[in-house]
Amino acid sequence: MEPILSAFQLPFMRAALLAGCAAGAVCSLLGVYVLLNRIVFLGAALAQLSAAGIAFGFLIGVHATTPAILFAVIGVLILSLRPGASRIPADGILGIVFAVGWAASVLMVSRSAQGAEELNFMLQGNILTATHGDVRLLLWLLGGIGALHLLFARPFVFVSFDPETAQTLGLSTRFWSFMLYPTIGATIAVTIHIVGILVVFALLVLPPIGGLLLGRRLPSVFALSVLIAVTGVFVGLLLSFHADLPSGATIVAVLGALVALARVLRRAHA
Amino acid sequence: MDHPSGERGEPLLEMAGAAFGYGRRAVLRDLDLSIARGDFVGLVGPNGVGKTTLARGILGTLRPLTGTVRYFPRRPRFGYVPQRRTLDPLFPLTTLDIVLMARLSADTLRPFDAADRARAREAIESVGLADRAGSMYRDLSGGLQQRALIARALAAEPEALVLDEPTAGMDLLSAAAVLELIRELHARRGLTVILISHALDEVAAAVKSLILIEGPGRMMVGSKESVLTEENLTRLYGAPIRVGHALGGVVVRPEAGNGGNG
Repeated sequence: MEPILSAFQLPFMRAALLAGCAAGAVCSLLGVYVLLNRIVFLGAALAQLSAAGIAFGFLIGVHATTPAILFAVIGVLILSLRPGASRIPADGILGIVFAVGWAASVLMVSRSAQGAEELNFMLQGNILTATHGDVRLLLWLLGGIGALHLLFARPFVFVSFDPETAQTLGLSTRFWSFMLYPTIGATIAVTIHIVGILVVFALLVLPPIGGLLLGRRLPSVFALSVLIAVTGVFVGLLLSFHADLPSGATIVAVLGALVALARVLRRAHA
Repeated sequence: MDHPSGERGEPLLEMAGAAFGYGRRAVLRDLDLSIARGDFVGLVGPNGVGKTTLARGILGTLRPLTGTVRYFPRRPRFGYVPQRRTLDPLFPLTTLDIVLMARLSADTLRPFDAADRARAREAIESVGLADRAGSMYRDLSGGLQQRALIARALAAEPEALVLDEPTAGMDLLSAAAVLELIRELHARRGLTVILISHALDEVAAAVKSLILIEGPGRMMVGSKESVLTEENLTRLYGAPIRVGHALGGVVVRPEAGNGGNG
């Protein structure tokens, strides 16, 4: 066992593990809301919008995280307005954001000096290049989001489950939606720069599916979701190190296997 | 919980020239309406005519585009029972989790205390679900889910209960049991009840007065006998409708040969 775990004695692997676990915990926590509100495609669209923000940062020469957060938060606020009389379905608007965000990223990066190499890095990300600064940022994010959800889980769940009744009882659905959706946008924007679109999207969706398959009540769904995410990052990093595989794709593959295992366990239990 | 504030017969709310809609489009307009404490009102009309919109106007969750809505002496505590199909069964919530939602106040940081839990359990008991408090809401039958939602409305200690299509998608016996429960709550607690449905005879069997929405600017309010006439319903549906009595209740049916288009 010790030789296998020795990979984490290397500083870059330790940083990757910490960054991955923190990103995994925060994304899988928020991912439960993404799944329950059936807005998985919103996660994909926001990820692409954040990527466009990163590309914009490259283009104008500022730190990529700031424009990524700005793009994602502004995007999520606009998307959450949901104009009732629009002839364009909500999914159609997300599709537009996804496609245009992707094209904007490619176009903006094509004007920068490094071009394709940057785009590739942005899309795949590389958790192995996470710095101590990245880890600190992710731990702060995890602390903030974790505290927010410990304090306000009940209104978030109520407003997600039954906004009409919540409003009747005096809760501002607009306020709680504006608290929830921008946190999802900002989380995607921050984590995407460190672990990449693919891993962020997988962490938002796969662990919560596993949590919903195995958990009976919401607290256990949240806990299992985080546990699956952290396990996926840990096992994925180890596998990628020893088998010399790309880290992001390996983490996603392990998460997929864990969800399949959860499905089998669920069926066996049923 | 048994005695809502205010005396039976005192006004609860009044609408004058009110229009409700979304964006700038009015779904309902020129509404003049008053509801008194202790009333048992049916809100009926064809699908898509604006019943839920008017319910939102009554609840105060939709502001009038024009006109006024006044509550006496202030907005009452409403217990709202939404349409069951709007609630996603994906949420892993127990009956108790759902009923406790009604105890969430504007002070969202306050944890649920013993009094909140007692109120929730009392409400669950009052709808006959005491042995299902720990059951998953999604595993309950349609009738039991409806009871759970009524329990949640009761846990808010309401002065008025608004129920949106409470028997939709239920079998005959479950629907009758839910309507009987609503009638009993009205009689026992003196609650003002506003029952929304497109099933005319079902509502007529339960309520005292009716609000019949015909279209954006057309509405009839009165006793169920004065509203549910063949003339009114034939005009509303654009096809001959018969109104009769059987087994002590009102029966509304399209005239023979006119039942296949809707």
